[in-house]
Amino acid sequence: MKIESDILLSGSNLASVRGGRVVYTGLNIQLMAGALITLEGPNGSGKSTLIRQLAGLLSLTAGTLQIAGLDVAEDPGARSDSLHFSGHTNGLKPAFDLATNLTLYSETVLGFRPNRSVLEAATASFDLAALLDTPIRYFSSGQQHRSALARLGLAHRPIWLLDEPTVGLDQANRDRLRTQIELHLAAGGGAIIATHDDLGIAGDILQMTEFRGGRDDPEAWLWD
Amino acid sequence: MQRPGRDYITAMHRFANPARFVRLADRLLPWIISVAVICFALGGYFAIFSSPADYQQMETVRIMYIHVPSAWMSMLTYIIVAVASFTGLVWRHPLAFLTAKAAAPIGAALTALTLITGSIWGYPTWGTWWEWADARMTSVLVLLFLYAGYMAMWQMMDDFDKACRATSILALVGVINIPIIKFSVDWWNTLHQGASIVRSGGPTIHSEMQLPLFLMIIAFHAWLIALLLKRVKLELDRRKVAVMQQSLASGLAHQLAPAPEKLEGQ
Amino acid sequence: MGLMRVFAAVVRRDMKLAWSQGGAGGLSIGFFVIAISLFPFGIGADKDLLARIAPGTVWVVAMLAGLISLDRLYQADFEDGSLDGLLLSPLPVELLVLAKTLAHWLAIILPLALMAPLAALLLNMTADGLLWLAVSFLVGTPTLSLLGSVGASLTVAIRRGGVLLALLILPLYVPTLIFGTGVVLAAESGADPTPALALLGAVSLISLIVSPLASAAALRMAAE
Repeated sequence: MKIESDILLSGSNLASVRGGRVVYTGLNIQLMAGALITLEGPNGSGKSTLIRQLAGLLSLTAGTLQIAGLDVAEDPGARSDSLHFSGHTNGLKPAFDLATNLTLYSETVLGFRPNRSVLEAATASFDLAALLDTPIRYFSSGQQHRSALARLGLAHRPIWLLDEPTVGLDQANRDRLRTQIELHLAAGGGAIIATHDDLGIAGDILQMTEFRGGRDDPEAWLWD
Repeated sequence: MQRPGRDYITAMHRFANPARFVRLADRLLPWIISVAVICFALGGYFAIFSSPADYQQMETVRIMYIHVPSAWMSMLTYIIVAVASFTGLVWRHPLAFLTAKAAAPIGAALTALTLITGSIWGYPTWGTWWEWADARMTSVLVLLFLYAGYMAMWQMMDDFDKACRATSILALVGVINIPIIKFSVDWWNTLHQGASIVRSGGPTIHSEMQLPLFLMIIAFHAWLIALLLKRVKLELDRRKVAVMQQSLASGLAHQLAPAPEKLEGQ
Repeated sequence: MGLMRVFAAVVRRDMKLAWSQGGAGGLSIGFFVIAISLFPFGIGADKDLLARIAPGTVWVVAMLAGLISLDRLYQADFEDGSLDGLLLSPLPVELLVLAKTLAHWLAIILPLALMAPLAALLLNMTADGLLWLAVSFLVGTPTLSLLGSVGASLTVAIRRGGVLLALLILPLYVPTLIFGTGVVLAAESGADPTPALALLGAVSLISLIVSPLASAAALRMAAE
C-alpha cells in the first residue's frame, strides 16, 4: 500500500481492558517513516496487548487509530496490506517443510504466491536457506523462531509490529535481526517492537507504565 | 482522565444501573409473587373442580393446565435468553448478559416440566410415553439440549467477557428452533393437535376450559418474572463476588467496592 | 492476487493439513468404518433388522466421525499461532470461515459420503436406498461442516472443548439427521423422497448463512 505522507501509523487515546482490568488508557503513539519505537515496561503492562490492538487482533476499546492514512474504524480491511505482524507463537506447521510453510503464509496472509528465489532471499537473511526443504519438526526452537522472522522478508510492508522478536535468538541471529530492521527503516519503513532486550538501534521508547489504568475500574458498574 | 469502561457501556447504562434495578426488583417482587400465588390457587381450583373432564381423555386432561403454559413459557424463556444476548452483543451492557444467564436454567426446568407433563398426559391417551415421530415433542427435546449446551458453555469458560459473548452467539444460533417448534404441528400431522389457542379464528377450546387455562398462564408468567428477577439479582451478586476475589488475588483493590458487610443478603 | 485466489489458497492449505501428519482425515474415515461394523457385531446378523436401521445408523455414525475432526478445525491454528496470521489476511473472516469449512467438507466429509453407500451395503440396504443415501449425503453433509464450524469456533479456546463441542452441535444436527434419513426411508418405501430432500437442502442453505456470521464472530472474540 502506498503511503502518501510520512506518518505510517497514528493512534490516539487508545485503551485496553482485559480480564476486568484496565491495561492501559489514554495512550498516544505515532510512527513516522524510517522510525523505530520500542515498547518498554514490565510484564503485564500491555506491550503485547498494544501490538495486537495495532495489528487489529484486538478491537479498539477507546480512541482512534489511523494506519496508512486510513481510519481503521471506517475501513477495517485496509490495514492488512500495510503491516507485518510477528507474535509470541510461530504459526508453523511441523508436518511441512520451511518452503511450504512460507509459501502457505504468503498465499493466505500476504496475498501472493512467492517463487523460489523470493523464498531463498527471505530465508538467507536469517541463515536458513539451506533448510528450505527440511520439515519444521526437525528444527530447534531457535530455528523455528527465525523461520517466523524470515516472513518479514517475503514482501515489503511499511509497518512492522514485532512482539518479543529476540526471544530464543543467539547473538549472531540477533545481529541478523538488527540488520533486517535497519534495512527496513532505511527503506522508509517503520517498526514498533515490544522487547525486554536492547536492540542496539536508535529510536524512541514508549514506556507502557505511563499509561497504566490506575484507578479506573471497568467492573465499577456492579457497585453503581 | 478518560474512563475506558465508559466507552463500551453506553447510554443504556443509565437504565440498566444495577442498584436501580435491584431497588425496582425489590419493590415489584411482593406484588408479582402475590399475583402468581393467587392465580395458581384460583387456576388450580377451577382446573380441578370446575372444568369438565374431556370425554376422550378424562381426568388426565387436567395435566394440560400445567403442560400448555409450561410449553409456552419454555419457548418464551428461550426468546428472553436470545433477546438479552442480542442486547448484550449490540449495546455491550453486562447486565443483559447476566439476564440471559439467569433465564436459562428457568427455561431448562420449564422445558423438562413440559416434556414430563406431556409424557404423563400422553400415555393414557396415545398409549406411549414418548413418540419420536412427533415433531413438536422432538423439537422440544432439542430445545432442552440447547439450554443444556448454553448452560454448559457458561460453566466451562473462564474469562467472563468471552463467556458473555460466546454464549450469546450460541443462543442466537439456536433461536431458529423456536419457530420450528411452533409451526411443526402445522407442518407435520402426527400426534399433537393443530394450534388451538393462537389462531386466526379465535380459541377453539371449550369455554369452560378457557378460564382455568388463562389463569394458569398468568400465574406462570408472574412466576417466571419473579423467578427471573431473583435470579438476576443472584447473578449480579455472584459477579461481584468473583470480581472481588479476582482483585484480592491480583492485589488490586476495586476502589468503588463497598466493604463486604454491606453486601445484601439476597 | 485477488480475494478468490487467497480463498482458494486457504482451501488448499486446509485440505493439505487435513491429510498430513496431525490432521484428522484418516482418523474420521477409520472411525467411520470401525463404528459401522460394530453394529452387526452388537445387534446380530439379522439381515432385515440391519437393513431397517441402516439409513439412520449410517447417518449417525457419519456425524460422529465428522465430529471427531471438528475440534482440530480451528484449535490447531489457534494453538500454534497461525490463526493470528489468518485473521490478518486480506480475506474477510467470514470468507476465511467458508474457506476452512469448504476444505473440511472436501477433505474429511466427502470421503465419508463416498464410503457411506459401501457401509450401507454392509448393512444390507436396498439398491434404491443406496442411491438416495448418496444423494442425501451430498445435499445434507455440508451442514455437518458448517454447523460444526460454529461449535468449533465457539470452543476453540476452551480446554478439552471437544466434549462441549459435541454437546453444542449435536442438537443442531438433528434436523439434518431427520431429513437425511427421511429421504432414504421414503425411497425405500416407495414414497417420493423429494420433499425431505428439499427440506434437507433448506437446512443446508440456512446453515450456509448462519455459520460464517456466527463462526467469524466467535473467532474474532477468541483472538482477543
